[in-house]
Order: sequence, then structure tokens, then C-alpha cells
Amino acid sequence: MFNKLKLSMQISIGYAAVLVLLLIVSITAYLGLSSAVGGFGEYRDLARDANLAGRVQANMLMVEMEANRYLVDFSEESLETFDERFALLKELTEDARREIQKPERAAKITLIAQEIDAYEEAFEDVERSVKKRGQLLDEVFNVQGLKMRQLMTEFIEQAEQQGNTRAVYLGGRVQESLLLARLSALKFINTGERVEAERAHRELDENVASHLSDLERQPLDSRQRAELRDFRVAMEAYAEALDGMDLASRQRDTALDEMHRIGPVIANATEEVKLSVIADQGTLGQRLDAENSRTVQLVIWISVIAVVVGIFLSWFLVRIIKRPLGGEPADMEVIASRIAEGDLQIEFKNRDQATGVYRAMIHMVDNLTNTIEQVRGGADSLASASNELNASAQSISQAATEQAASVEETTSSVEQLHASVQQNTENARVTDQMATQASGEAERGGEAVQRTVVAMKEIANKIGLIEDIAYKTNLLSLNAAIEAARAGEHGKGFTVVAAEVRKLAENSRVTAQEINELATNSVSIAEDAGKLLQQMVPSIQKTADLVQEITASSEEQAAGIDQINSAMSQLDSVTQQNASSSEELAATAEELSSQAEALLDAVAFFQLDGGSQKRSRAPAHKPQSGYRAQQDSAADEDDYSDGEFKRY
Amino acid sequence: MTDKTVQHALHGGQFLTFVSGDELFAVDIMQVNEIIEISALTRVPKTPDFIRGVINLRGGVVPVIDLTAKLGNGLSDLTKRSCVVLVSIERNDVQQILGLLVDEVREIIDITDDHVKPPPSFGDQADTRFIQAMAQVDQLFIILLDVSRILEQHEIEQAGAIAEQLSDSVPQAAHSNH
Repeated sequence: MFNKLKLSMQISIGYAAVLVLLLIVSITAYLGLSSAVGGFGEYRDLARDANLAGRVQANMLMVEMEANRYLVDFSEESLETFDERFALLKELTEDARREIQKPERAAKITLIAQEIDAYEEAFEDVERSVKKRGQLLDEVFNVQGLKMRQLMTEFIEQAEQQGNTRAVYLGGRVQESLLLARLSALKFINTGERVEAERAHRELDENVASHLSDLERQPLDSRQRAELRDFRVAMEAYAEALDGMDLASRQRDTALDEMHRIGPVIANATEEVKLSVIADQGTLGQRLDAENSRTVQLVIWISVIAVVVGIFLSWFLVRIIKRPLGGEPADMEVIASRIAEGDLQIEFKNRDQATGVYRAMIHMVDNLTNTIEQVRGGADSLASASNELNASAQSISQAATEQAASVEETTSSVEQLHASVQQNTENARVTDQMATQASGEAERGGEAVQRTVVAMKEIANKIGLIEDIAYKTNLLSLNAAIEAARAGEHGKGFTVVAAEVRKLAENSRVTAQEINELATNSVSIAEDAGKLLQQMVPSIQKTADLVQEITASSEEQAAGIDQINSAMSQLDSVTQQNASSSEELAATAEELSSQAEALLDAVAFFQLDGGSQKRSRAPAHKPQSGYRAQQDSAADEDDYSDGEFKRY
Repeated sequence: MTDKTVQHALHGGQFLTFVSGDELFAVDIMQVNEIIEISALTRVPKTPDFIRGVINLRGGVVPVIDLTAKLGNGLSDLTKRSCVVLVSIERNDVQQILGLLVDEVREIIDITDDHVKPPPSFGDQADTRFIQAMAQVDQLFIILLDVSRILEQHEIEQAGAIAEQLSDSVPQAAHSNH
């Protein structure tokens, strides 16, 4: 099927196949690169996730550090730093929540965000309790403690002045216990140990209170009593502040515990996030590696296949293109130019395996040789035939001249014939008129006879009446005779008269009868005449019709003769043309003869193998050789020596 | 009477000839009363074929006998020339007028005695009583009829009876015809 296509189509299909292979290679490479690029983007996203998680972790550590610093120095500066760090941490966390989408990691991030909020709350609790402690310390402990000590010192000084030793002693004991309590309270505030707080409480509630009660039982003046009352009030406030301090410390510790719990949780969570991302990165990297290497292999294989197919197609196209050509184009050109120069003595190689144009050229040379030989033979025959034609044409010319004379004679005869036919026509027309007239007259005659018949019949009737009268007269005469006979002798004379009358009647009757017979006969004769006339009318009309037909026929004959006349004149001119044509034909035959000679000269241009060239004028007398001898019968081969052959 | 007739018959005299059924007959002129043309003929029912009917003769009823039928040659056709010959016959010594219907009357001829021959004898079977005699005229034989014997006695009676029967009513009828 491929072989039936046009050459351009075949080449186009070959190149199209190569292009298709190139396209396949390109597509494969493009697909591999696209997937590699996609994998790289994914990998970069993972790296960014890991980075974000790492920053969250680092900031968390910084936040914890700042918190610890604040817990150590309680300075506003530390607090500010903490707040900055914390804001950054929250921002990063928000970033992470946006960026990290994988569900398990997102859950971790959400956990981290929650814990960070909890951490913030806890830190705020710590901050509040620290402030509360500071407030209590500044407003209660330092004030009331100092106030109690001053009151007690005043009291002791007064008691000493009064000389109340007991009161001085008791006052000293109260002062001692008070100081112990304040010491323990300070220790508690600084270290946060609750043992110290309880000891301070015990000092205040047991020692100070008991010594104070003892003191109050001493005889004292009102001023002293007032001082003691103030002292007791301050002491109660102090104790109360101590409880508040304890509560605040406990709250701070709880918050700190919470903070300490949250820190590792967040650290763990971020670590897990990082680990998860790293694990994903590992898997993705391996996969990308495998894909890339597979793409490379695929591209290499397809390229190899494309190269192989391309080589095959080029070989195949060369084969396909060469088959219709059958040889090298340069060889073709040489052969074609030799044929163009009229040289048909060409040696062909590989006659049997020849294909395409080469084979066609072999055929062309064979057929040309054959044709030209035939043309030469034909031209020879043509020359002799034209000579014969020349002779024939001259005899035709002579015959045509004789024919022209005969035609003229015929023409004059036809004209005479024409005249007589026209005479006929005229006569027939006159006859027709006469016949028509006769027909009318015969018809009128018939009518007259009819009237005659009617009249005759009337006459017969009338005569019948006369006959009747005669009969009746006869009867009368008979009766008279009878009467006369009866009269006897007297009636004799009357008898004679009666007999005479009777004879007359008889005569009348006989005559009437004769007339009647005559009339009847006349009637029948007249009727016969009428019938004959009636019969005559259609005959005459028929005659008239026939005469009209004769007229028409004569006119047609005249027309026919006219046609014959014109035909004869045409024939005359044709005959004359024939004569001149035959002369021209003779000239043409001579021309033809010289043309045949010219044709032979022209065909002599071709140089042929073989000895069939009969004319000595042929320019080339080549020895018989080549395929033509081979195609001819083997008998021909015997006629020529082997030396004259060139086998191919 | 028969003798008288025969004697009477064998002499000549004047005879009226007429044609009946293509035959020529003759009758003694003395027996003929009159010849009339045929006129209104009244057919009488229940009478024999040969009685063609009756005619009105000047007020009298006259029976008409078809002679052709009577002589056995079938009923005669009525033509322009048909006539009724009125004859007188005796019936019981009374003159009876009888009409004879004939095809045509011819002439009155004189027959001499020596031309009259007795009727031929055809044997007993043939009834030849109505033939009075045979007359030879111009080489022909004419049968001379005896009118009184044309009808049998009872036929004459019958005809007379019809005439009488009718004549009672005829005058009125005759008058009514006028």
C-alpha cells in the first residue's frame, strides 16, 4: 500500500515518523522534568515547614528564658523583652498554622498554639501574684512591721520611765518575738518556704499574743493601753498580710508549675513536627531520586529507538525513491540525451532486474525502434500508394466530365416532363369542375323524376275512379237489361240500349285499365330513372373526388419534378466539383508522395540497430544488435553471424 | 217440382254471368230481381258461415248468402267489385228475396237451347242438385245455377226466419240509419 503512494507523500510520511519519534522524546523529557520540578517544590515546602517549626522552638526557648529572667529580677525591662519575644512567638505560631497543612502536623501546631495561650495565661498569673506580693510587702509588711516595732519601743521606753520593769520585760519579749516573726516572714518572702511562714505565724499567734496579753494585764496608763491596742491592730493586719502573701505565693507556684509543664510539651510538639517533616523529606527525596533516574533512562531508551527507526526509515526511503527511478539520475540523463539525439543503439545493463524509469526507458527505446521501423515501411508504402492514387484521380476526373454531360441531358428531359405534368394538372382541374356541375344537374334531374312519379301516381288514382264509374255504369246497364228482360216483348228495344250502354261501359273500363297499366308502368320506369339518377350522383361525386386527387397528385408530381430539377442542377455542380476535386486529388497525391519522401528523410534521424533499413538514403547503417534481435525469432539469429551480435 | 225445374232448365234464354271464387257462373235472368253494390252488411250472430249477414233493401231485410262459401271454396273477400245479386225463390209458395254475394258480375248473354246440356253425373256422393245445366259459350262451359237449390230447404227456412225476425225491428233500424 505504501508503494502506491506518491513519492512526495512517501518522503513526507518518513519524515513525519521521525518527527513523531522526536516529539515522543521531547514529551517524555518534558514530563520527567515537570515531575522533578513538582517534587522540588514539594521538598522546598517541607523545608520551609521544618524551618518554621525550628524557629517556633527557638523562640519558645527564648520566651522561657525571658520568663525565668523576670522571675529572678522582676524588672519591667525583663517583662518588656518577654512580651516582645512572646509576640514574635505568637506570630510565628500563626505563620506555622497557615503554612503547615498536613493534618497530623496541623494538629500538633494547633496544640502548640493552645499551649502557648495557656502559657501566656500562666505567665500573667505569675505576674499578678508577683505584683501582689510586692504590694503586700511594700504596703503591709514594711509599714505594719515598722509601726509595731516603733510602738513597742515607745511602750518599753515609757514603761521604763514609769519603772514598770515587768512591763519592760514583757515589752522586750514581745519585741523579740515580733522581730523573730518578721525575720521568718522576710525569709518566707525571699525563699518562699512555707515553714518560715508558719513559724512567723506561730511567733505572732503564740509568743507575741501571749506576751501581749500578759502585758495588757499589767497596770498601765491609757496612753500605753492605746499603744497596745494600736499594736494589736497592726499585728492582726500583719498576720492577715502574711496569709495573703502565702496565698499569692501558692498561686505563683501553681502558675510556674503550669509554665514548666507547658515548656516541654511545646518543645516536644515542635520536635515532633520537625521530625515528621524530616521523615517526609526523606521519603520524598527517595521518590524524587527514583523518578528522576527513571526519566533519564526512559529518555535514553526512546532516543536510542528513535535513532534506530530514523536510520531504518532513511534506508527505506532511499530504497523507495530508487525503485521508481531504477538507477542513478546521471545515467538516466545520459540515456535520455542520447535518445534525444536520435541514437537508439543504447546498451542497457541488468535488463531483467531493471525497475522504474530505467525500465521504462528500455521499453521506450525498444518501442521507438520498432515504431520507426514501421514508419519507414509505412512511408514506402505511402509513396507507392500515392502514385496509384494520382492515376485513379485522373481517371475520376475524366469520368466526372462525362457525367456532367449526361446530367445536362437528363435535366432537359425532366423539364419536358414538368411541362406535361402541369398540362395534366390543368386538365384535371377542368374535369373536376365539370364533374361537380354534372353532379348538381343529376341531383336536380332526380328531383324532377320524383315529381313525375308523384304526378303519375295521381293519374293512376284518377283513372281508378274512371274505372269504378265504368263498373257502376255496367251495373246500371245490367239492371236495365234485367228490367227489360222482365218486361218481355216490350222491353226488347230497351234491352238493346242496355247492351249498348254496357258495351260503352265495358270499353271505358278496358281503356281505363290500359291507361292505368300504362301509368303504372311509367311510374316504375320513372322510379327506375330516379334511382339511376340517384345512383349517378355519388358516382359523379366520386369522379369529382378522384379528379381532385389526380389534380393534387399532379401538383405533387410537379413539385417532385421541381425537386428533381434542383437536385439535377445540384448534381451538375457536384459533378463539376468532383471533376475539379479529382484534379486536386491528383495534385494532393503527388504532394503526398513527396511528403512520404520527406517523412523517410525525417525518420532517418534515428539510428537503429538491425538491418531492416531498406533505404540506402538512411543515414546510419548500423549492424543488427541489441534487444531487438533477441526479441525476434531464433531463426533470425541464424541469419546473422555471431560477430554482429552484442548480447546484453 | 223437380221435373218442372229440369224442363225449365234445359231451354236457353238470357243469363247473367258472374264470377265467384275464380269460377264463372250464370243464372237465369228471370230469376234475378236486381243487382246492387255491396252496402252496409249486418252480421247476424249464431248463423252459419255462408250467411254473411243481412242488408237493408228499401226497408226490407234481405239475407245475403256467400256463394263462394256455400259452394265450399271458403269465405270470399269483399272488393270494390263485389256485388249482391238479388234473386227470388219460392218458400212455401211465398216469394222470398235472397242476396247472393259474388266477386264480380260480368254481362247478360243469350244462350240458345241447343247450347244447353244437362248437368254431368258424378255419382251419388257428389251433390249436384244446385246445377241447373251446363251451357257452352265460346268453347267454355258455364255452370247455370239453380238458385232455388243452392240452399237446402231448412237453410232457406232458417234464412227466411232470420229475415222475418229482423224485419220486425228493421223499419225502426232502417229509420234510425237514415
